[in-house]
Amino acid sequence: MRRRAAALGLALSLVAPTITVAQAGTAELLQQARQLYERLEIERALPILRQVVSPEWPLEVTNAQRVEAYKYLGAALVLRGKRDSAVLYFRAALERDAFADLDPAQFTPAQAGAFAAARRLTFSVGARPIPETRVDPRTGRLTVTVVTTHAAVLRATLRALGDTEHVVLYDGPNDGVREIGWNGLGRDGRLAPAGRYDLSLVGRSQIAAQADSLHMYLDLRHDVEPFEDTLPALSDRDLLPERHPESTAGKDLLKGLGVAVGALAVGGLVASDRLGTGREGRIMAGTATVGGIVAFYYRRTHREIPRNVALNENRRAARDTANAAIRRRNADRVARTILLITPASAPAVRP
Amino acid sequence: MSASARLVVAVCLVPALAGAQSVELSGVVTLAHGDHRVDAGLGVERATGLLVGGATRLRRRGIALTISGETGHLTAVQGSGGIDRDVSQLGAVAEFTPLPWLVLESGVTLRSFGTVVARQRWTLVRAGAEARVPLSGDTFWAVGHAHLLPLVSVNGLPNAATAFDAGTGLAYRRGRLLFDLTYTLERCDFPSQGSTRRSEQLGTLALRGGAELRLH
Repeated sequence: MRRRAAALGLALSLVAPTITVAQAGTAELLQQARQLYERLEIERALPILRQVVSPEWPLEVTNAQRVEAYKYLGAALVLRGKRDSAVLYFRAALERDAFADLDPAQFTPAQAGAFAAARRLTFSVGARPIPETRVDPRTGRLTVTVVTTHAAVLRATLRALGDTEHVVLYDGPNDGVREIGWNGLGRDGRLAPAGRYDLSLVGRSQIAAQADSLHMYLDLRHDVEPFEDTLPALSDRDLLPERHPESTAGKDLLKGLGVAVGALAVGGLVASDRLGTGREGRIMAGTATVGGIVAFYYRRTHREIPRNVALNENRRAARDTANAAIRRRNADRVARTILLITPASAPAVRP
Repeated sequence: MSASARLVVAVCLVPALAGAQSVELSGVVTLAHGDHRVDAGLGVERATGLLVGGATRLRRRGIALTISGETGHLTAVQGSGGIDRDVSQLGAVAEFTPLPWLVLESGVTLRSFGTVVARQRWTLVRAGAEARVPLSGDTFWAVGHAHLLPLVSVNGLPNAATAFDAGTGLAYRRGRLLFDLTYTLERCDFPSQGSTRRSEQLGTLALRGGAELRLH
């Protein structure tokens, strides 16, 4: 009887984790596995960890949880002396998260050694998610943290979608984590236009014939003060006529003749009949007639109005000066533009 | 103080006024041919000759003051029965420009005719207008003017019954330089005295040239 009871107890103790697994969430299960691992109950931790990474596991497993499970699986197998299997699990972790690492304070040198071996065998690039960021191009920059699992040549470029030209953020050797920055300017040195951008990372292993790449999409917006409108072009109503109409020459002739007639009229009508007049009126009339004829021919060949031309030039110059000042102020506003950068896609999209 | 002395004082004050205000100051030299005709019932006496003089004008906004003076010798035309005479005159005219082409004028002229026989002093008060229209752009102008002379006082004679002047001319202005050529006929008819009625007429063809100074 006591044997049967002991056998039942043992069976229950074996079945209990399975019941717990079925009922607990992935996070709780991982927590449970970690506790078992830390109590060195490796044999109990391993099935739980295998459950988490199993394709048949019915609950949702995030990438981070899966990477965590692989790491603990690898670490547990190192403790069990199965280094090759451990390396396989570590590689699985690194393939899913190039930033994955073992904390030296929590894991043994043997585990770290196996993880390092996995790094050498696995090649992948990674990038940390970019949070929503405000960048003042005059003083700040966008910082992206990237990683390669081992020594590689890394090239990071940024390109506006639909554009063929790109900005090279980094192009050189890399091993491990690196921060790369972007000052918000395009290749031409001007502020990058608003729109969606593709941040591309391409790595080529220097140890093995392996390559990896990923893309991140960013939305870039400009936070800029409203612009001032420039003054509109001067219309005909704003400008004085710069040329006399053709009729002006004839009118000038008539005015000259009017002066001549006036001079004769003064002599003929105003003067006393008894006293008569001298030649002064006729001289004036002749001079005025000649003046009118000269004015007629002069106006036919000189129709421009220099004074109006000068005034119009002044008005145009004043407008141009005002517009230049407005453009300068608008340029200052552009210079003070803040870039608003928001992620537009999942942190990393492998093509 | 005589009227002539007051005019001289006014001319002397012009530069001081110009320095105190933002004004335009111009000065011209006048060369005129005068034709003086008198009919005092004994036929027309006629004398002609050259007059020389000058004028200065002070203008601020639409208001201006012109002081002028001319002097010369008129020679009796042979056969007209007259005698030679010296003529001198000082004038002061206030001007107001209500429209760009119109100047309203009012002034007084002190004139003296001197002969070997006697000296005759005239005081003429005039009011009228001058019209200026551009003949060719802003440099060449057609000018016409007319004044009534409500008071013409001559020593030894009753005041003129009817007096007026009228004239036309051309003006040229380029930069600070100004020239004009004007013909003016001034006519004074005096009241009848017995069977005679005195009429006098002074026609002048004047050429003026000078410069304008803009003072700030």
